[in-house]
Amino acid sequence: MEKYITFAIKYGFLIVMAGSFLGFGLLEPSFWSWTNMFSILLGVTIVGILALGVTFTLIVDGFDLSIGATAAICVMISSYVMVVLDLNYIYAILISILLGITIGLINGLLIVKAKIPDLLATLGMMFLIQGLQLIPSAGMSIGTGMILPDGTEAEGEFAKEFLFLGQGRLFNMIPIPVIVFALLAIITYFVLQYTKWGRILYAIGGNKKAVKLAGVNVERYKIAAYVISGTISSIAGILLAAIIGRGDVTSGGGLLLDAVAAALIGYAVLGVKKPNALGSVVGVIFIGMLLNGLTMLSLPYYTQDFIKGLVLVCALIFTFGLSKSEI
Amino acid sequence: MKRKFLVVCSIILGLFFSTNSLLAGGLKGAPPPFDGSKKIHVALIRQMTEGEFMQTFRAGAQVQANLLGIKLTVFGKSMDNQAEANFVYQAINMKVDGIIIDHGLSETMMKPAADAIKAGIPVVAFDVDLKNPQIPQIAQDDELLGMLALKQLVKDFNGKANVGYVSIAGILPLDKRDRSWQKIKKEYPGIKEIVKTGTLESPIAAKNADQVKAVLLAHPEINAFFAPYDELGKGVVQALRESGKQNKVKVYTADISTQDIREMIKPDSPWAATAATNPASIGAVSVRAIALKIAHIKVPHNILIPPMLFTAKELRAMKIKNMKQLRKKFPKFNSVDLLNYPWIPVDKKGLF
Repeated sequence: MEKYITFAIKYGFLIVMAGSFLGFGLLEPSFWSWTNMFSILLGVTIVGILALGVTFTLIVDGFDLSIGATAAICVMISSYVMVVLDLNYIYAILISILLGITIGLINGLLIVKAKIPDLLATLGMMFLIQGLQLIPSAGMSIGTGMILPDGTEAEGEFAKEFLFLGQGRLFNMIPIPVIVFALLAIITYFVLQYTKWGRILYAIGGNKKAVKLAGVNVERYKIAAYVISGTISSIAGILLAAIIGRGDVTSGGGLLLDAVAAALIGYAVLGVKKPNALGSVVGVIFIGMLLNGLTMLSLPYYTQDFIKGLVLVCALIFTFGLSKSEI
Repeated sequence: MKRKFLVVCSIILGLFFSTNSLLAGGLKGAPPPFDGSKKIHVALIRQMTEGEFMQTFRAGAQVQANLLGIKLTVFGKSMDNQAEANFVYQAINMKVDGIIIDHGLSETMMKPAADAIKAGIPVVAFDVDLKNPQIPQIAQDDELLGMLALKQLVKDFNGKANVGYVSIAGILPLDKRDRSWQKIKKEYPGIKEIVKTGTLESPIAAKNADQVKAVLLAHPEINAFFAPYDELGKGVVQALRESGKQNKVKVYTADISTQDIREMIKPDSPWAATAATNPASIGAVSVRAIALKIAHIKVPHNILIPPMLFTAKELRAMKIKNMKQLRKKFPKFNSVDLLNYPWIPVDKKGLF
């Protein structure tokens, strides 16, 4: 019996995922088309990138709640740089990434030096950033030709090259954001699974005292985790701005919770029971595939949040409920 | 025994074929594919889903779709622009016969809409400028909507008022109504814009109420509000009631719904007037437009829905308590005579 339970915990999630993939395709053949697959991936790319970022902080037993806000402010900043300041799009990208690094640094310092608990520090930053993003444009969305607070018209526009990042396709098929997501996923997986660096991060999450006694500068690693989270969030923000094509003040609304849900579902993938890169990616793709398939089978759009919640709760029960409790 | 079995079988088969022919019946005198040759599937893709206007729009679209025998799949995630773009691609993958795009950002939706056209799927747009000569644009006459309400404001205040303006830049219909506001300010220098505020954060009415309460404290000289969207207007009214100022300030809006009417007819309501169209009619027109495109019948590029003005005084005098009574007493408001063909069934229940 125990062998079966272990098997269920380890492969259950992937089996359910494979089963749904087959089932949807059999019921609706257009589900299996390449265009649909890439459609699913494009839909979950932004949340997926954010999930990768939050995974780092979850590993060190922290929690970066500011990821959604960081992505949103990068949407506004990159739009501002291109449309209001009329600068080259390269500056928009560089400034956004710099902003992401800075936010991560502040988060890290608040937690490590000011000793504020992770959740509280990042929550505070989240509100701060959400408010900050509205100030440069006086609360308005940023688009070409918008009237600025001083009465003049904004002359800059979203560069074609920048928009290509969000709306372009390689070989007319693969959306560019999906390629960025794939690259980030591979790098993250590699760093966390196969480098000493990644192993130390996991160790810090497991037993901080032991790692400290072993001579590791835990504080520096923790700050690094938050800086990485901030940077990855800024990349998500840049891509989001490129996809929408406008500095939309409403962007970033549900991103935080969707990303966290994906990262938590990742615990159930391969029965790892820890935050992990592969799990976060698989989790996010599973949700995307589920919502896509069910929509093709005429599931009303307003039930989607319910489905997401159901999957999350089931995944967690599966992961934690099935295994023998460790005392 | 065998005979009974055969009788039952034939009854079942008979029912099967008769219901099948009912489904495959199609519309009398209709061009293909509405003559029953194909079951048409249309995607309605939305940016805004909250509020009575949006819900009534959808109800009208659904009823017209049912009358035409069209399967309508609705996609929408409140104020999520990236998701809206992705829904278009999902609809393309589902090989729908037509797409209605309801609100959205031009910059985000232009490419997905163009890709749909490239994939051979006709598209019509409501309240979002897709800048595509192949996509008919449906809109309320927004500039007139704004103008009707504002002219009433000017009349009520004899050309002199301190106005709080509640609106959001970047939403196409609101931008068009804003043009009327700019024109009125120029024409009547006594009408001053004291402050501009407004948000589309959910829940829209409540979040705007918070902002307006702050504005009222900071600017006690405001005696009127122009909020060209009824969710914003509801927020203003809520703020006025919570600040006890409902008798001192008047509110002018666009759109109308049962909730709006119920507030407007209250004896102490600050809600003075609103200009509106029947959102259900717009939903129905949108479905008719896409049906005509699917049947390869020419559709005008700009389809404009004319509005009407309703004052609180009028509603109280005519004892109108809800949208049903409003539609009965104002038949021109109720149904919009646009894109009607003899083969398109008319709604007999009076929704539009």
